[in-house]
Amino acid sequence: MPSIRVKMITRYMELGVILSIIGMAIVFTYLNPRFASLSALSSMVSLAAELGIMAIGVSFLMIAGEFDLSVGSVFAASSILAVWLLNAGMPFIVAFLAALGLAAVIGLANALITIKGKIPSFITTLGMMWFIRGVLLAITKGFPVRLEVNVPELAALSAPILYDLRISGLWFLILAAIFHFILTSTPYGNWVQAVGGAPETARALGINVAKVKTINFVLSSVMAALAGLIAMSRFKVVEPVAGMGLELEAIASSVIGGCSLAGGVGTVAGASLGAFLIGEIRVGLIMAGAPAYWYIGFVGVLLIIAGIINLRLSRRE
Amino acid sequence: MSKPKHLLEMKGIVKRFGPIVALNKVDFHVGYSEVVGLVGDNGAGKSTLAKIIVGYHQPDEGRIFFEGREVRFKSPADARKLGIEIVYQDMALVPYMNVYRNLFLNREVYKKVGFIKILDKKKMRELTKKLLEDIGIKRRDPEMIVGKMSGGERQSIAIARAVHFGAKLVILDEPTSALSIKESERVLEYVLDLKKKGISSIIISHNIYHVYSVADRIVVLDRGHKVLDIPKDLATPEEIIDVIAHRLPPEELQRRTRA
Amino acid sequence: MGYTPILRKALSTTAWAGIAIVLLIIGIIAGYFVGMQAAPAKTTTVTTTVTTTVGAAPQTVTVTETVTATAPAKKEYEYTFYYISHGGPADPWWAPVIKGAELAGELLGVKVIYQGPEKFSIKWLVDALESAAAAKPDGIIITITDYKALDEPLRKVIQQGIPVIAVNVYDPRPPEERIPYLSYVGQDEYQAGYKLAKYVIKWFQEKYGRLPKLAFIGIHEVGHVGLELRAQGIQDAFKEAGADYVPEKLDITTDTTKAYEIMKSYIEANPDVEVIFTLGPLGAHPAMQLIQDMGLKGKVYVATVDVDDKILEGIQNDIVIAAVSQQPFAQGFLPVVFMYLYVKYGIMPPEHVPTGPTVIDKNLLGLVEKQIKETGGA
Repeated sequence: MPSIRVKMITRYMELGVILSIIGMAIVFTYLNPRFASLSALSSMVSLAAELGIMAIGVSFLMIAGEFDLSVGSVFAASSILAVWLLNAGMPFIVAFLAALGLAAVIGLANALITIKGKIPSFITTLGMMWFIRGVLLAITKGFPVRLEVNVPELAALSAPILYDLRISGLWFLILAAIFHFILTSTPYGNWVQAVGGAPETARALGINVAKVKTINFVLSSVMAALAGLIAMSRFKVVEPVAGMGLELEAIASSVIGGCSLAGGVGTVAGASLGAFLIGEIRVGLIMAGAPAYWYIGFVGVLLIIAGIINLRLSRRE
Repeated sequence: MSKPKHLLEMKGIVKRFGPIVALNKVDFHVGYSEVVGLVGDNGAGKSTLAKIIVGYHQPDEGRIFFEGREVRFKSPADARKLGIEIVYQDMALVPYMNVYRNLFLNREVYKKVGFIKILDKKKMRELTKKLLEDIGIKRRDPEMIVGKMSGGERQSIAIARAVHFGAKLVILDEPTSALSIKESERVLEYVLDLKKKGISSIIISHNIYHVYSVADRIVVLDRGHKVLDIPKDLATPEEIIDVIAHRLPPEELQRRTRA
Repeated sequence: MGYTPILRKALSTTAWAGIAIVLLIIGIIAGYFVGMQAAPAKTTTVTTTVTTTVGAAPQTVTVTETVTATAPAKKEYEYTFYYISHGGPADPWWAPVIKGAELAGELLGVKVIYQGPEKFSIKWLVDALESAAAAKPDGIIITITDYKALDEPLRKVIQQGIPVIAVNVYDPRPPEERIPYLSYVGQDEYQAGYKLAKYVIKWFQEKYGRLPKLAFIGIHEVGHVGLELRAQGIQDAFKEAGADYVPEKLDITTDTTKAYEIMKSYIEANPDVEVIFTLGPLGAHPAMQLIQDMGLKGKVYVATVDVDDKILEGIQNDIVIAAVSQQPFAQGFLPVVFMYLYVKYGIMPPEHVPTGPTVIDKNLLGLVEKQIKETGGA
């Protein structure tokens, strides 16, 4: 009989990341008592928002058994497109939808190449990541793209509302809740888990594996575009190298939150909490006065530990 | 309307994979409440035939009739709708998912709120509990992760799932291959239970003795051809093994039985 | 079930989470102490090793020095200031800035926390500012690398009552639209480029009686407002002098290996080039290396903003015509002092505290060498 503890962890995969969040909070509060404030908390949620929204899409796709490394490039491409359209005088809604549309097309391309070409999505999206980045650098000649016009609607994406909480933090929480619900409480969520966990079984039971994967590829890309638009609304400028490395942070968030690289295992709540933990470390280290260079080292340690825990859990058979 | 002669009838089935002919003009049928044992050496075409029946593969030639009507399955979902279920040896269930999610996979019980479909987890858990009770699994926790259960339990659950959703024909692909002796016996009992409930089944296995203990009729495939189709009572397991191993020509066996 | 499997199971689950937390705690505490840097002692020996890789030849410059400081009696710091900049360890220019800020903190008994990114990123700068603001420090010193991106978050910080001093890069808008920071400590970026180019033009006219045949500008952080202004100053000086071309801007990236190749291709395609303008050591180092490797000494010259010991060597060896110094140590030291005076005594700093530009040529070498020896940069 498995012990109660084993059961708890396998059933509630978020437990590990929640414990880490609490543990880190205690340490950071000890180092700087101001850490335990609503202001710091809202700052963390806001900071984690862009990565978190990205991690929602990436984890959803990872659970369906596929990777998306192109999200960092989509993050930049879609927001650069939006800035161009806004500068050309297009209404906000047109630019917004065009940016998401571009992302959807890229997601669709990723899906078609991966599924029809029968090549690993790791390769497809790695290629896509470099291709888009190259195109962006070539078109912009490396120069950042600035928003020249005043667009009041951008406030809907990232304006501060309370303390240091931005609307983007709220979007992040709402989207995390919605997609967690879809994954755990709708038939589609059931299919996503089955497609990632045992694609042949899913197909034998009549699930359209290709369709589920395609939808998730598009979703992952569109979420990345949304994250990019939020960043654009905050900074009013997009560097062609924006979002570089974010794809790996999003995958790291998902793994820290309990997603398996092999697919089939993980939750959106876990991935979102993983992104929050990364945001917490970033804010915490700066508040504690440690040099910011430590941040990436910490994320590395966390990732390795999460990977070990993941492996232990997947050996449960 | 008179009842058609067979539940499933396949005529002249041909399936090619590139240059390889996996099935060559195979005729095959399953009667009502009949257990058919499908045997043959590796590469004989057993699995291909099974996958055609459930719509996983599409035949290149030939016709399939189910309950007297001609059918053409585009996907496993089509076959499932008509009551044809397959239980694969290792891939019947998704190991990382729990029992109730597996049982209702792609047949979820849900409530509709507006256009959103919300899983009715309470109902699925209740139904699962009852089902686990019926098949005699001691740990009746619907949230149990399938990967942690024994092979026999998994086979039983997969078969029970087929029955629960009103299958008329259940195909068991190597149901006993990874099981202990005791568990194998248990699974074979379920096959006989199916027959009692009026459900037909096809059992594919390397273990002729297991097939022999439950089948009514035995069909032998050899490199894509059907070489033997014989009621169980007319041949011994040893004779069937000899046919598969090419030690006994099938014509010779048939001559013997006629005599 | 035996004893061993139970043990293993327990290890494999909750214990791993425990180990994770313990490891992280160790890491944080280590990071915290490293972050504090050597505890204030009467005499502190600071060794800075700056490694720059230019082309294929890596060079290591080690500067050892003794800084005598009066240690504050109490360990508790009176104030905490954040110094947030866009300059990371990849750019050796920032080493004396960090040293200056930390020395000022030590002398005044103020905790100065320096934060810089791994690589240039506007997003990083804004995120770091917002995190630092959450710690409610007594003051924030920051480079206004992108006034548009920093506008809203900085105004919010100032509204919360945290005083802000701009350093190194300022908000170029007119005073009424500008972010209401207390003061700007640093050089006028436009003037730095303008004065440098003026000097180069004068030098050419004295030596050859004409303008350089062709010149270009290597820019290592495209979009960095300060660098763009320096480039603008250079271009304007050429326009004023009546040149028949405007020096072209070349994106040479912060990667010196790439910069080397990019500039090399440009010179090969345009053999008329006589002056390479660079906007910092990240451009100047590969440019000097390139002139040596291609045997163009005496034919192509470097003129650069910012100074370090390698660039001084270049001036000594007639590869570099002149360099503009903005005295980075002062940019680290002075804002901390001004912030302290403001917070403690309510003394308002001047609106602009210039730390440059000073054009350094062969005649000024002696003085600058002292600065570099003492502070690690000029």
